[in-house]
Amino acid sequence: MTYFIQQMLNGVCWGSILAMLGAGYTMTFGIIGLVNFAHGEIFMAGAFAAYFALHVAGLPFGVAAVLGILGAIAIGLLVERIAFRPVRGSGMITLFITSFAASIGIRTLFVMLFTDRAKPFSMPAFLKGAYLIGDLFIFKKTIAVVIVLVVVGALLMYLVKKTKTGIAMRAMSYDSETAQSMGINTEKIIIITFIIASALAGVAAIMWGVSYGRIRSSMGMMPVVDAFIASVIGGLGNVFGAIVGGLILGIGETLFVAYLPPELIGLRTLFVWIVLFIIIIVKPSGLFRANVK
Amino acid sequence: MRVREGFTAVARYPIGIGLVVLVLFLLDRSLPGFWLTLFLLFGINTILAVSLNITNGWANLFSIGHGGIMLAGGYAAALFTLPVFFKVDIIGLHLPGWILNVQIPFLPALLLGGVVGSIVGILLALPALRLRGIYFILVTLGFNLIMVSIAENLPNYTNGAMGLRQFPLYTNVWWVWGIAFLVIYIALRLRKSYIGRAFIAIGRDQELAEHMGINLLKYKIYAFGLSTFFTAIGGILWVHLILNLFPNAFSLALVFHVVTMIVIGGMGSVSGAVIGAAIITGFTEVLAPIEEGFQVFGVQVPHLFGLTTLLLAVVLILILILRPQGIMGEGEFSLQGLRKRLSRSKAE
Amino acid sequence: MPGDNNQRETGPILKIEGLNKSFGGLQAVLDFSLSLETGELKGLIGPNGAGKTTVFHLITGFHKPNSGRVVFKGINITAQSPNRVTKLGIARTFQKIRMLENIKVIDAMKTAFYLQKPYNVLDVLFQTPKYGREERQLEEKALEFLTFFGIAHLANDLGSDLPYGLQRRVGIARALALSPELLLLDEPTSGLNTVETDELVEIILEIKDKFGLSIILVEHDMRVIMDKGICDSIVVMHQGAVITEGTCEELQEDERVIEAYLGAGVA
Ligand SMILES: Nc1ncnc2c1ncn2[C@@H]1O[C@H](COP(=O)(O)OP(=O)(O)OP(=O)(O)O)[C@@H](O)[C@H]1O
Ligand SMILES: [Mg+2]
Repeated sequence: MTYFIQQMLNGVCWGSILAMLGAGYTMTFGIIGLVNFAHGEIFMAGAFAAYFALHVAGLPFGVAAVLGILGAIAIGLLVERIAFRPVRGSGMITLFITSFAASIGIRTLFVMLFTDRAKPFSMPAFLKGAYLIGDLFIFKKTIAVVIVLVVVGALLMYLVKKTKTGIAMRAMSYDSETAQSMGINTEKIIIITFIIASALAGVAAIMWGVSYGRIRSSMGMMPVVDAFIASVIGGLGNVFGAIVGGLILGIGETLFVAYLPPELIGLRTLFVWIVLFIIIIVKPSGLFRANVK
Repeated sequence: MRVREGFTAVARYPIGIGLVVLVLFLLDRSLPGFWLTLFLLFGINTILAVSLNITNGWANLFSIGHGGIMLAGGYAAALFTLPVFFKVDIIGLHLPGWILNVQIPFLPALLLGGVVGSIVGILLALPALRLRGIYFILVTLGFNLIMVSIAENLPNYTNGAMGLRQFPLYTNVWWVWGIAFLVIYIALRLRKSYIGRAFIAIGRDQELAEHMGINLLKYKIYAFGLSTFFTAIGGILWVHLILNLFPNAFSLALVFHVVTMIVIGGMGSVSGAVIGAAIITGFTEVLAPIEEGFQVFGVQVPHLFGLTTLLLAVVLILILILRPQGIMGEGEFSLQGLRKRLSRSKAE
Repeated sequence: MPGDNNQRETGPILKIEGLNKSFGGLQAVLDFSLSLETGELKGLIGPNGAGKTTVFHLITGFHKPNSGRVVFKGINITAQSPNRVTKLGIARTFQKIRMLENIKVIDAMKTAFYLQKPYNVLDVLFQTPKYGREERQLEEKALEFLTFFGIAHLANDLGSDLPYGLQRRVGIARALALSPELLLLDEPTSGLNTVETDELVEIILEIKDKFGLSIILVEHDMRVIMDKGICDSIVVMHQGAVITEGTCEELQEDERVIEAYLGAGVA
C-alpha cells in the first residue's frame, strides 16, 4: 500500500507536466482547430532557454524560469508564423503536416546545435529534500509542482471562463466566422492562444527540469504524444478536462511502470496507447464535455 | 487507328518489359557502386512512396505508422534470412528451432515479411478505421512509436537496440526495380478500375461513397492491406541493402521522408510519388557527405547530422505554402497528355 | 416466410413504421410512418428543421433510428449500413451538394457505377479483354446518362466547377447510376431559378417513367410541389411528426398545413 501511494506521489510530477502540456494542446485545438505537433518542441525550447539562463548565464532560478517561459513563447510564435499562419484554412491534413514538419525541423536543429546528450538542470536549494511522513517520502519539488499546477490551472480557468478574452476564445471555438462578424479580432485571439499555450509548455518545461534534473533535445517527443492523449481523455477542447486527463495519465503511467516486471520496463509507452484505445472505443468524446469547443 | 490500337494492345507489354529489362541490365553493369546504391535507394523509396500514396493520398487514411509496418515486416523476414551461426552463436536469439536453424532465400522472405506487414497493418487498421482525421493520424503515430519500443525491448527476439547485422546481400537491381514496377503497375491499373475509384471516393467523401454502395470497412482494409504489404517489402529490401536493422531505422523520421515524397510529387498521384522519391533520394544523397563532414582546402568541415531532415522540413512547409498540390497535382504523367500539351503550345 | 413473399408481390415498396430519432435532447423525427406504393411519387414537405432530411438519413441507414422499422420490398432494412441499403435498390441525392473534389464529371459518374463491378481484380491486373470491354461500356453508359441530363459536353470538367444547377443534375445522374428502384430526392430544386426548376421537374418525371422508379421528393418550398401538382400524394411534416397526408388539392384546404408553415415562419 505504501508502495502504491509512494508511486502515485511520484506520478504527480509527470502528471502535472502532462496536464500543463495537455491544456495548451487542447486550447490550440479547441480555438483554432490546430493539433500542434510542434508543441513538444516549444516545450523543449522552453527547457533550453531556462537551462542556458541557469547554467550558462548563471542567473537565479526565478529569472531562469521566466526566461524559460519566454523562450517557449518565442518558439511558439515562430511556429505560428511559419507553420500555421501561411496555411491557415487549408485542410486538417495540411495543418498536421506543417506542424509535424516544424516539430521534426526544430528538434533536428536543436540536436544539431546542442546534440542529444542530457544536460543537467539543477534545482534551487529550497526545492531540494523531502518530508518523511510515516513511510512516505514527500519531495519538496512535488509539492512545488502541485502548487504551480493548481495556481496556473486556476488562472487559466479564470481566463477562459471569466475574462473578455476567454469569452472571445470560446466564441471562436464555436464558429470563427461568426465570431469575426461579431467584431472579435480573430487574429489577435489566435496570437493570444499561441502565447498562452506556449507559456503553459514553458511552465511544463520548468516542472520537467525540476522533477528530473536533466533535459535534452529530444525531450519533446514523448510527452507531446502523451499530452495529446491526455487532452483526448479529457475531451479535446476542454481545458479542465485536459488537466485532469494529464494527471490521470501521468499517475497511471507511473503506476503501470511500477508494477511492470523489470525486463519489460521499456514497454511503458504501451500504457498510454492502451488507455487511448480504451477511451476511443468506449467514450470517444472524452470524460468531459468540451467547454472551449 | 483500329489497327494501331490492336498492335499496341498485343505488343505494348513485351516491348515495354523488354526495354525496361535491357535498361536495368545496362545500368546494373555500368553504374559505379555509389550510383548503383543510389539507384536502388530510389527504387526502394519509389515502392514506399507509391504504397503510402494508396492510403494517404487516395483513401485519405493519413498514416504515419508505416515505419512500424516496415519494422514488423523487416524483423519477420530478418529472422529467417540471417545466417544461422549469427543467430545462434553470435547474438544468441531465443527463438524456436525452426526459425533459428534455417536461412531462407529472398523471395519467400519477402513474401513472408510482406504478409506479416499486411496482417499487422490490418490489425492496426481495424480499431483505427473507426477513427477519422486527427485521431487516425494519432493512432498510427502511436503505433510507430510502439513498434520501435517493442523492437528495442524484446532483446531475446530482436537483439534490442543493438540491432541485427550480417545480412546476406540479397537486394539488387532486379528485386528492387522489379517490385517497384510491379507496385507502380498495380497502382496505375487499380486507379482506372472500380477498385481505385472506390478508394478515391472514400478519400474524398466518405458519406457519399457509402451511398454509392461502397463498403467502407472492406475498402479501407483493402487499401491498408495493399499499402502495408508493399511497404513491408520495401523495408525488407532496405534491410538487405544496408545490411543492418535497428529499431530506430524505421522511425518517424523515415516516415516523414516518405510523406515528403508524396507531398512534393502531389498527393494522390502515382507518378508524383515516383518523382517525389527521385527528388528526395537525390537530395538526401547530395547532402549525405555534408552531413558526415568533409574537407575543403584542408579545413575539416564538421559533420552536420540531421541537415537533410532539417532542410526537408523547410522544403515541406514551403511546398505546402506555395504549391500545395505538389508537382503533379492528382494527375498522372502520360505520353498522351504530354503530346496534347505540346501540340497545344505549338498551336498557340 | 410465405407471408413476407406475399407482401413483396402486392404490398408497398417502402413501408416505414413508427420511426423515432433524437439527437441529444432534440426529437428530430417523432413516430414517423409512411407507405409508398410501387411507382408512386410522393412529396415530403415541411418547414425548415421539420426532420425531412433526417427521415432520408434513417431510410438509408446513415443514421440509426431509436425505434421503428423501415421495410423495403418486404425486407427489413432498419439500421442497415448505407452501402447495403444502396445495394438493395435505394439511391438518394443530397440537400447539400456533394461533389467529389477535384474529380471530373465523367469519372464521378464512373465511380457511381461502382455497384456493377463487371470484372474482378485479376481482369484489372492482367488487362483482360473483358476489362477493356467493360470499361469502355462503362464510359459509354456514363456518357449516355450525362447526355440524358444534358451535360455530356461538360464530361471533362471538374464537378465542383459546374454551376449550381448542373451540379444538382450530376447528383441525380449519379444516383440513377446505382440502378435504384426507389429514389430519394432531397430538395433537388433548392437554389435553382424558376427556369431551372421547371426543367428539373421535367427531368424527374421523365426518369420516373423511363426507369420505372418510385420516388420520395423532399421540398421545403411548398409552392414547388403545390403549383406543379406532380405528386401522387403529399406527406406534411412538422417538428418531426407527420401532421397530415393527402393529395395536392386536399392539402390546399388543410388548416394544419398552413398553420405549420405560417407558425414556423413567424417563430
Ligand atoms: N446530426 C445531427 N445532430 C444534431 N441535430 C441534428 C442533426 N441532424 C439534424 N439535426 C436536427 O434535427 C432537426 C431536423 O433536421 P433536418 O435536417 O431533418 O430538417 P429538414 O426538414 O431537412 O430541414 P431543411 O428544410 O432545413 O432541410 C433540426 O432541428 C436539426 O437541427
Ligand atoms: Mg433537409
